[in-house]
Amino acid sequence: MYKPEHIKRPILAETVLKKKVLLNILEAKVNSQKGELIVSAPLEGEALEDLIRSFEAEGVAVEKLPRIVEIDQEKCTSCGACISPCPVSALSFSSDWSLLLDEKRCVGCRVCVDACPFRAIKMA
Amino acid sequence: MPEVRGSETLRKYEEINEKIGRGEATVLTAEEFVAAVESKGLERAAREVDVVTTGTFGAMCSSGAFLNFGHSDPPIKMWHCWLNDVPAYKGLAAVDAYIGATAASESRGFEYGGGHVIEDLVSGREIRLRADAYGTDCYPRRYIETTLTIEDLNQAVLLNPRNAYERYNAATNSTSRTIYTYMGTLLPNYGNVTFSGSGQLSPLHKDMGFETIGVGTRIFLGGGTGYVIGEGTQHCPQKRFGTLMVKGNLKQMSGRYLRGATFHRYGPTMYVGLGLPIPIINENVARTAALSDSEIFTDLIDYGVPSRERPTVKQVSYRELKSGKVLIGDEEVHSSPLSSLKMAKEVAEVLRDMILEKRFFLNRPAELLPAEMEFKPLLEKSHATVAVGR
Repeated sequence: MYKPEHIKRPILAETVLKKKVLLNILEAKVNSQKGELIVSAPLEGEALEDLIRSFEAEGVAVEKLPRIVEIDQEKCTSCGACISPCPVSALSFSSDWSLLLDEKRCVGCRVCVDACPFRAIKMA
Repeated sequence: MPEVRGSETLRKYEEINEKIGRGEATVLTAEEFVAAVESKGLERAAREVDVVTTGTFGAMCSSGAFLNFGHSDPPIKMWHCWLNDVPAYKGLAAVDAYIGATAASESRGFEYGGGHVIEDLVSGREIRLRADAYGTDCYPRRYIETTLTIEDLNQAVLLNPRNAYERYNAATNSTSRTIYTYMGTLLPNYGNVTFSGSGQLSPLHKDMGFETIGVGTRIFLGGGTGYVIGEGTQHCPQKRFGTLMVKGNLKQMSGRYLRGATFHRYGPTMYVGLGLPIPIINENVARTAALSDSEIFTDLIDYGVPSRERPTVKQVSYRELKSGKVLIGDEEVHSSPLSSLKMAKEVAEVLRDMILEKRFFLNRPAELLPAEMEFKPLLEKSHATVAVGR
């Protein structure tokens, strides 16, 4: 979460160069008052905490998202409409034809949110 | 091969029902029957198995319910009528209405439609009813607004003009942009394949000779018992596009098997759970009931072409479709269903258990469905005025 004073500096680009980390921007909402980015980083454990501290040191608020999409099991019928449109194959069937979500693969593109006929998928 | 369609050369309906009553009937789901035939052979499986149950749970747009609200005081002859802002058809008697699955809410648009109203109704939720009228001497009232639940209604009859397609097309998209269709989201450049139908669990495909299904056939419908009332609209059995027209008492159905749904940028619809019991009355019926996913084929159609006749990319088996990967040219393309295979299996299993628990008996139809029917297009005819002069 970026504040107005951050608008003058390319903090994300500086962080990528400084930490040599390949960040993937999944969603960006930036205007003159504030900015909010959803970013995925191929890091875990201490390396991830270090990256978060680096942003926080610049005054950027960071929140770790535990998952990107959520599936409402009450609404889901395991119809499969979400599976083939997913560009990263994050959705699949288990052996009993139940719907499975691989959270690590999800990049938050939202195609499944619209594809679900029962509106059982939403952004977390 | 029996000469007469529907001949009961292996067993009769009465024998089957007697066995059900004694708790001695052998009933398998269509998937279990496919496995039994694979291991024991067709002849032995046909001798041993009395009934095969089928199931499907997919989007069935041509669905809806006839409702009778009862009369208010003073009485109203409803002219326009809305249930939770979804318009219902009122061109019938004063308080009879038909709520169709694809009607859309006037306040919420596509996100809430007739199918959602039916799901809410069958689940016992309160529905807001609004109606206006032009008023007559015998029906003086001009407006009414009230809430009701399904228990307040006189009749609530699910009546679906076209359900349980024998099979359906698979879909892909050759264009360079994503398209949104009744076959779901189709990614550009053959990016994915969607399909509908339960394949080896498909009710009509498992009796593709139409030897057991007809007017009056008792079925599993929406969680309760329903009946086939005839062929569905667009019924075309000789091309493997048979359909059913079905009815049932909504008051004994369940919101688990009647679900409102919305296809993005297409519109609202309703998913219906339907299962047909197939009595193994002769060898031909046994043979069709034993068809497996690798023997059931459909056409992969390019929905990127916006015309009535769309190009067929290839013929594809339900086995290939269900595998999750379809070969188009040299590419392996991801495929996924739109109808729930998990729910289809559940419907077939629930129907099997209902029969085994003596809660469901089979019946000989009053008349078998047609095994052949023309499926005509809409022709645009113009009325030419010819002026004849001297």
